[in-house]
Amino acid sequence: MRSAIGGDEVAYRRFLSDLSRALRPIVRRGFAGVSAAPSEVEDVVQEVMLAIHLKRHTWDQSKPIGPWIMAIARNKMIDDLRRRGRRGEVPIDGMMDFLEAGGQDDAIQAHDVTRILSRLSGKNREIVQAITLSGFSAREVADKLGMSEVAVRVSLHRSLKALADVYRETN
Amino acid sequence: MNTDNFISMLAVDASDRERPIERTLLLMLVFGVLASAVFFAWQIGTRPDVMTVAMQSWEFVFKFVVTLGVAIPAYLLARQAMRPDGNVTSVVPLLFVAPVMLAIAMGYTAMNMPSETVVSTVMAPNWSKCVSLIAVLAVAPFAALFYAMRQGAPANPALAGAICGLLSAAIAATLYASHCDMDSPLFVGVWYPVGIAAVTAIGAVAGSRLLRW
Repeated sequence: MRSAIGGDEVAYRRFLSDLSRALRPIVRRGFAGVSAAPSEVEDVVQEVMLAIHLKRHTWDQSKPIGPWIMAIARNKMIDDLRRRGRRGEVPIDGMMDFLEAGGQDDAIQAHDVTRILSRLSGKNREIVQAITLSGFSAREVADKLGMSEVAVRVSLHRSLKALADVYRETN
Repeated sequence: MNTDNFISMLAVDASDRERPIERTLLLMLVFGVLASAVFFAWQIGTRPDVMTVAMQSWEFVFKFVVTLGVAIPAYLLARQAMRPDGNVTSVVPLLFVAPVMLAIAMGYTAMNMPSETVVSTVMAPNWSKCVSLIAVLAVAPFAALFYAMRQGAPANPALAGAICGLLSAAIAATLYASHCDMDSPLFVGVWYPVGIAAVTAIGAVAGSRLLRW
């Protein structure tokens, strides 16, 4: 995470991948009482990951990262349970399984993010789609759409913030 | 969208990062204090005999002990409140030091003056000016600190807003104390807390609406 915060894309991708595998069982357990479908669990996993991404400058690097991640996960899960009209108890342990977790399915489709991103305006949506569906880098998207790489990055960052705003407003 | 694709989107955004939140908070604190101090120097100003009383009156100096005694723990609280995993309760005991000292000073002062002057000291005609100027001087620090808090991820938005209010009001009271010629702990102990509490309450309401993330 330190190198990821330093802007290293490869390290960050690896971190996020580990993170998604660690978060899935935590969210699944938190939502055990409300019989959430796998796609709904995945919605929450992605919402938590987005919050971690946008708020990563609030991690105090002199402290272990686990409690910080759990605090964000708990916060978002409580929001979601509230949205479902139920007050849930969210487990606070489990983060330490982080490295053991594995062999889960990253292919589960989540719906929230697709729905929200489809409402983005033309160019922003094209950029998001080129990155998520075609796996393009910012450079490649820039070449394809005839924009500067900086403009692509700015647009993507705005889209991510807009996504977080929609998540929050629907809570 | 599956999570692999979602991760691609976040990874491409890896280089867009903000400065560490504690630096943002400190920067905004400095900015807020300077803005309020400039406004104070321009529109309000210190009292004419400020140098003399600073040397001779323990009551005058004590005002700053109290206001800074609130401001410093409030800043430490803000540093905790801005993080999702912050530990606010560890700082709370420090927050009681200044009020306790003030209460003792109030008791001491009241016992050493004729009882009929106690009420007239508390109800000095300046009280409304005291309360309103603390609120006015708190505006700039509050805006700056609230902005910093929005960049954070406070576990409790209402509490985080209240702490912004408390810290900005303590800064305001520190500036105002050098203007006000009411030095008696009896006056300070009643009206300064009223002004500070009002700003803190506004902060709590604003925080509960605007500091969710």
